[in-house]
Amino acid sequence: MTGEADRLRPRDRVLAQRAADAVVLLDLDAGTYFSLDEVGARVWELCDGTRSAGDVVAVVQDEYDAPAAVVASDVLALLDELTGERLLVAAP
Amino acid sequence: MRAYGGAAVTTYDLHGVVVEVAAPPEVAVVVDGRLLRFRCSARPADVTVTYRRGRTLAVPRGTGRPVYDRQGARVLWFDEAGYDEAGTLFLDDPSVRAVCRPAAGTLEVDLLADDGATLWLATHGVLTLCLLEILRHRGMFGVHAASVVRDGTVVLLPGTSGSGKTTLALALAAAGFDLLGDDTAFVDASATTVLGFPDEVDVTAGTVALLPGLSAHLPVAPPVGWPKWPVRPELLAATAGCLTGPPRALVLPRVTGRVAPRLSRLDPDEALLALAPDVLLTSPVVVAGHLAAIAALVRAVPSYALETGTDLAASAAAVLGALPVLTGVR
Repeated sequence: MTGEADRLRPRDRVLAQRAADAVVLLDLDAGTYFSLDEVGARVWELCDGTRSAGDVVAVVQDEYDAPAAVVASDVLALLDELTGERLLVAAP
Repeated sequence: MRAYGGAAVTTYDLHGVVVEVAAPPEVAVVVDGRLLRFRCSARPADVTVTYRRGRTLAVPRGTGRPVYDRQGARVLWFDEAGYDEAGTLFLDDPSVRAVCRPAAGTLEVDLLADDGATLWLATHGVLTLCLLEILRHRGMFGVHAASVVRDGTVVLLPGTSGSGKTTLALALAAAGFDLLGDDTAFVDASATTVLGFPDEVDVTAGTVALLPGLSAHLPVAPPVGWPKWPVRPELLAATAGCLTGPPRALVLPRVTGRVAPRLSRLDPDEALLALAPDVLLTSPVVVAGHLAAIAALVRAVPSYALETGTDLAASAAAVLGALPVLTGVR
């Protein structure tokens, strides 16, 4: 489970490419592709190793017109998924 | 074509990259059939391709990782420690062994058997895979797509083998487009230019069934051990005089049992996901550049999915109707 204080960054051998509003991720080691929608792409962009998960939630709550609790739940769930797939890892 | 020491040597200019091919004459003539439009006078080469009979090549040192699935063959990439782009692509099949160093611009191929299937593999699958790797290290990024030209712009028809891209390309040629290539095209890093690869068209029995007029240009059967008829595109359709042009649209065909075609718009990310598997996962720096070029392409032009039907004229008309209107075209 991703904690609000956790800082995450993309794993080194993951490439990201934006196509319009979405982002496609490529895991070079597994040879697998993932697609993130507009909100997911923004979350990915914010996970640069400098922000905590809580910071990321706060930015997305500010930028999108949705209930705060829903945003928090969705963002943390996405971060769980991205770390589970080893696309994001803990920042030093 | 120059010949010395038993090898024929021919030089080709692939959009500014000079490729010298040295091969036994019976191999050279097959390669020449593919690269015919690029023939040039002898000049200093950026890339050398050498074919030999017998086993001369050793397995590269280190641990290779698989990057391509091919029945019966291992295709491995050996990273070179400390160098982001350098590495070796190694293909090992019972009948062919190849060592490609794309950054250095070299490809060496050993032919370990003397039959039609070996000749086909060495001059088609191996050459294509390695040439694409060499060229993308030089800023030419491959797309597995047929391509046709209209009004000086290029419509790309991406798709895997069996997707119907060759048949669609020939149908579009019959509808007034010029044929640029049937299997591979390149884009530059910014995806503002498509660089054509007018290879032989590999015609299958299925294509002939849908386009019976093709049979007049084909011998009774493909060469022994060859899965398809290789035919110069100039024999089949009007071909593009100019081998480059700006992209105009992507149309991704899929063969269905329908009669009438169905065309639908694809979002850029859907198109990127469809094209991304074309990217061979070798050097991370080069892979990133390749993905970026494809992303630029899908952002620049509209993409469509086309469920092709047996009414090829209708499929061609659907594509023509979907193309964005060009400004400034008289």
